[in-house]
Amino acid sequence: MRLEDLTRYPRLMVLTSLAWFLAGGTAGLLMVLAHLTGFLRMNEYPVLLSFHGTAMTFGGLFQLMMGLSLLRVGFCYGKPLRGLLVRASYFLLNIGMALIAVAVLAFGVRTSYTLMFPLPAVGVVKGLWSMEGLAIFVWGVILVLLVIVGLYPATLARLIFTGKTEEALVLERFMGTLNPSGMAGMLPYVFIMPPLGSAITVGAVAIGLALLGAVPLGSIGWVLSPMNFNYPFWIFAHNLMEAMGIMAIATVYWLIPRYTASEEQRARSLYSERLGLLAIVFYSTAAIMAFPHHLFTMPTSQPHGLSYTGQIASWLTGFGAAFSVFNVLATAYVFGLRLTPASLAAMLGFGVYVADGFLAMQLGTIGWAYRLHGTYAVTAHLMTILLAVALVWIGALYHSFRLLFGRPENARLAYLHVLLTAVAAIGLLYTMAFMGAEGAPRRAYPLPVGAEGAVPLLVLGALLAAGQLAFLLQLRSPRGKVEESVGSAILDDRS
Amino acid sequence: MLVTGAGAVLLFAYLTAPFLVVFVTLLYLAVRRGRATPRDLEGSKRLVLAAEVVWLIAIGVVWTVINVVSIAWIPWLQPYASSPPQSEPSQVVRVEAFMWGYTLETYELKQGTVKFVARSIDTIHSMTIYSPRGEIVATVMLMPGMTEEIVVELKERGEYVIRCLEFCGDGHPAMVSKFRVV
Repeated sequence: MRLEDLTRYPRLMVLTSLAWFLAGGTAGLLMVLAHLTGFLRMNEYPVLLSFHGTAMTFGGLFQLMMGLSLLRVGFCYGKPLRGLLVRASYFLLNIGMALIAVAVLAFGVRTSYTLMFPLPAVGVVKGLWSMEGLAIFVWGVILVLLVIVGLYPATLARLIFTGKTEEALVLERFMGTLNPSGMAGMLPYVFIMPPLGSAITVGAVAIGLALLGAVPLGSIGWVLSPMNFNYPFWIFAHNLMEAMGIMAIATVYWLIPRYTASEEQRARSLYSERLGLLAIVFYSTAAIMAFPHHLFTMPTSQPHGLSYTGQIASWLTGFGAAFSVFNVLATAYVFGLRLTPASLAAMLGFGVYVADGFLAMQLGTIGWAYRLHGTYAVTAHLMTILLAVALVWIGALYHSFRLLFGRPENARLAYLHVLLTAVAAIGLLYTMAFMGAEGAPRRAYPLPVGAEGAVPLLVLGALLAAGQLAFLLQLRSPRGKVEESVGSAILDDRS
Repeated sequence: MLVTGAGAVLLFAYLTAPFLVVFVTLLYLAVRRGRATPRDLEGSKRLVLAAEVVWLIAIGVVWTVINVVSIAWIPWLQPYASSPPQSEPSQVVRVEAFMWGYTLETYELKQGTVKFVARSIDTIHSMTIYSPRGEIVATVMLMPGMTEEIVVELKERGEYVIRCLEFCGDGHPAMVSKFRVV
């Protein structure tokens, strides 16, 4: 058994995600620059908007999570990361993303990253983009969906529940399903995403086949109705964000006990594993029914009972987060925390995640949603949750850096990376939230309201970019050789 | 004040700023304790238990207060929540949204309660009403094939602006209309 069997695909995923982050981040900076200088035409801005959103969320963050979560399961359960599922997850995600990028950049399919159905179809009818461009776009979406809903959770399930543990690959003893809770946090993704994402995947495949002429358009009329499409879409999209958030919380549950200093912490567990599990279960079950908050502002079409269920469920997810806040801080405080780039990134990512949670719950309150929905306050929430989750995974990346790259990280560059990312995330959260308070419409160019927010956005965006540059500098040095014989000491000697 | 977007974001800032200060302080203390001997760490468990109880009670109180108080802010409940309950609004305005504009039945309304009956004829739009002071009075998402009704109270006289806040293609930021309240 070679250590390379554990690290090859995670390393590929991490590096490929970095490429998407760089491309998407450049588009993001250009968008803010355009708000200041007006150098883009009105139909060029949505191209960057669509590319930025898809590249950062799916090519970047989702892929980073996929690579590092598979690596964690691999070295905790001692199972190699190879085979068809792992390969297909990596290649189909990136082929799908490449198709989406081609559709957006070359064919001008500019729908923003959330589809806004029926905009993709209406755009063809109105002559904004071509049918060929739409077909490429839809098949890109289908491939990405297949990975998110099927291949990635199947790979996780295969690693957790089947196959034999190879002792040589167990680099950290952190096995179990419900205990430790840091591993239990992977189960919501495994069990929730496939059923909740199936309807939208089937719908997307039906549309894709109709675009190729393989099935008559009339036979898929049900999915082309905007109302019918948007419910499965939001059930999927909302729960994907929640499942990614729960994965991040589970990563904090795993990482922080690894960096506690107390002798008492030989078992390397949380202050309360039971509270940890309760938080995961509470959060996951409440999150499933929180999705109606995306459609609160349809006062006649969405049943009021469904809206109110969405509000209560949204607030109940806050309870799950509140349990986690207490547990994580208590773990760090009671047992003492060793400061490293990994522990700092995980803690700061978690702090940003919780701070954003306040705004998330406000947006999940019907009365406030009628005053904030569609403004930059929503962008503030979405961007911050993604940045917070990314920070937590950056913690996991530094924890596994030596395993992935065969040499220790440069601590100074790593701290710079973590701190700049955290400061930018908090700054963006407040700036965009206040732009939302002014009523600045999101995804609009030029900004009719709140345009003065563009200056801080550019400064914070530049800080964020500088942080990622620090990570790029980290990769300048050649990759070292991970000695197979010392493999088991690579992670354990840090604890 | 609390029911406006600005009020909500101010409340967010007032809640999160102290949270972040406490979080970073505890992180600093945790790192300091990380350098202490195991013996120094003894005695903190009672304090943490007390913090657990206080924290859980606090979030329970916040949860209950906001979920109860905010019921009165829900637009479809407001006509019934006011005392005495309002009768059916005498002004009804039909609105049609399209890429990229709005058609309103009338562009001049009287101060008071108005029912907007709105629909989209092509893709998803929103009808977001900004008061003359620039505050969002209400926003409604318009999905093609569906008709939305919302009752809003137009308290101020002057020019109100309607904007689309749901991305609807290239002309999205230019999708604006205005009406006057006299």
